[in-house]
Amino acid sequence: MTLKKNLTRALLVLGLLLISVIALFPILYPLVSSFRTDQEIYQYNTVFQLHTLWPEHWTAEAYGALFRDYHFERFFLNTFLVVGVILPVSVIMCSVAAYAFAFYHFRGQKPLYALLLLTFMVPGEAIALPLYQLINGLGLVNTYSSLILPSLANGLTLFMYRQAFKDVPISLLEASDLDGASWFTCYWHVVMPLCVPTTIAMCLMTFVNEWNNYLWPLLAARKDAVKTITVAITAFKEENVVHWNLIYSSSMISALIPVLLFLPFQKYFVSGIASGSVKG
Amino acid sequence: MKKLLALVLALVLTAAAASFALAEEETIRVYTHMGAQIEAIKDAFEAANPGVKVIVDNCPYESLNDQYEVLLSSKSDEYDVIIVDGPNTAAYVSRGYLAPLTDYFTTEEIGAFSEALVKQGTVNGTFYSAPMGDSCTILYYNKALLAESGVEFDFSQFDGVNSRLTWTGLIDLATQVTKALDPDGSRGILFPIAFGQVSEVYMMNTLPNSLGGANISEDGLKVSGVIDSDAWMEALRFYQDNVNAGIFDRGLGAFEGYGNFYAGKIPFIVMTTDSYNYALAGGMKPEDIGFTYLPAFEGHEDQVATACGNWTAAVSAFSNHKETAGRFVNWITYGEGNDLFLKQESMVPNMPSRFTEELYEVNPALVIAAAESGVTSVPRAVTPGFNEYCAVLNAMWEDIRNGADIEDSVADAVAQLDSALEYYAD
Repeated sequence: MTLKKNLTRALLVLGLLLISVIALFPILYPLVSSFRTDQEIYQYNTVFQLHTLWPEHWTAEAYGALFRDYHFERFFLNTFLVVGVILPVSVIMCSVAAYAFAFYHFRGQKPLYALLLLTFMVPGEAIALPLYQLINGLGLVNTYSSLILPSLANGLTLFMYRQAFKDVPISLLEASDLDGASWFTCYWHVVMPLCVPTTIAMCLMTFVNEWNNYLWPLLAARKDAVKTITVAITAFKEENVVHWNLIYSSSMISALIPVLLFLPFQKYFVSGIASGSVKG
Repeated sequence: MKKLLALVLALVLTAAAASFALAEEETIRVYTHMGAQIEAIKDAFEAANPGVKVIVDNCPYESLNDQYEVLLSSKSDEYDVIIVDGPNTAAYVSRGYLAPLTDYFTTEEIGAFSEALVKQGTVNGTFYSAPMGDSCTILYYNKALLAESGVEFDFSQFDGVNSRLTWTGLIDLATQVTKALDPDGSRGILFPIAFGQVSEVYMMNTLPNSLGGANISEDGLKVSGVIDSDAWMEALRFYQDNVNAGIFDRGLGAFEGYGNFYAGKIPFIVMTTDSYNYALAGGMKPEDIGFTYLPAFEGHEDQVATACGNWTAAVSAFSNHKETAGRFVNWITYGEGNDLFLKQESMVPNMPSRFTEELYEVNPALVIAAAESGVTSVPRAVTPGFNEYCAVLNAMWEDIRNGADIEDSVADAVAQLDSALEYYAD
């Protein structure tokens, strides 16, 4: 019986190990390849062998070149700046709007809410051209504003907050109201503290979306002074040459930031998403 | 009091002079995927044109055409000079994106460019895009791999004019070399032969062209009767058979073969002449880089076709600095700027007089381009629907490479393209 149990356990561990390797491979390969030369990447990419996963000659040259030759710190700062403004403003704007939709009744509420929901159902690609024309008309192309403004209002964040607010007992708000609390006090001191998981989930989601945003920054921010990481990385794929080690190293650094944020907050992310997904 | 008045006057005059100088300053913006190359030479233009500042913005190569569609369809005046893929000229003119260059080039200057390049940049008799260079497809081989395989072959017997390899001869040779180098596949030689720009009309269309097939109808508005001709069907069958036989590359994307060739994973590859310097940058030794004329089909030696055409410089129709932008376009294509650009890029020159010994020293593969240019070079399809043409035919080549039925794929492409090109008929 014990033998059978141990065998089952061993098979289970083996299976999980195999799944882990498959899941980790797309991260592991770029990670190790970022520490080798382009020539070595090509050298060992066809027949799977030890050096496919373990560089023959380790070198951090690609990481050095990113900052020495390509001034990647500028693109990181740009991305941080854009995300750093979008994150708090978007969360506050959307949660305030959601508060109105959740706790107030006004004429045209339902059609307006439906309209807002539509905004996250229309893909960005579909509105890229008119949006560019609008931003261009306002003279904002190649400015931080062009990257920040279109991302401030987010239908999905609004929807998730409204769903979370609907879960807050209305008696709490009535009690606050009787105590003379203003709508802002109710929103800030009563409702928002009860929706911390939703706030964390929305912050993470907004951060990752904006951090990885490619199409809009490509259209709206072409100058190096305002360029973001995702657009800067694509420059390593030239017409005749692909600088794989630079692509891998810059992607690794770029991926590291969202991963570092996700790890401590992932449980909030799951509960935040789940809390907004089951109510009508 | 007089001193104070003099001081005020001096200040006013200084301010006026400064504002005059500022008014004289003119900035033009260039949009390109070759940002580093143009950035490196723009100082010479600024030095020759005091008061003019050139700002170069780089765009990822793969996004350039999409970016132009967004920028120019929005009538954006952000860019004055745009670097355009030559065959897109007709399409961009039809959409009103480009300004004529006739005010910035004399007839003699335009006449100095290679004929095919002038044709590519001219729409309805007006010159719109000036060539920065030309291109030529040639066959590269890795001399070190050939020596290691023990297979001997004398490439010096070919002069391109009277003799060159045939595709059958190349397939035999490449198969022998690959078998000798990697009999059991453990060494990781990928394929005997690769096309560097696989599934792209620029390179792939040379196969049907080399059997006498055209790229598009004379008016540039139909592919029926062209890509379903016998020449095309024969070329497509030849290509698919050799992909299936493991001779031609499969699974690699366009441009992915380049790095694998540089790393010694592919013994033979079709690339452009300017790839010579990229091979050096990719770690190949000059003595290991072999090159020869693009092969011919047996019995069609007189029809061999090589790809040509290249990036061109044009003035945006929405520029507010057309005069200066036109001067810049002249400088970088016809003037001193082009010499600087060519030396840096080792590209095929845009006019015969620019084939110099100095250039051959920078890139010896240009000897082949000099022989092919104007003799075997076939321009890409001249059509206002070039983007659509590329999208449909690139997909067709890729489908056929992946085993799709040739007749069905061609019929689909014909139906799609004839319908799409009809839009430009008026």
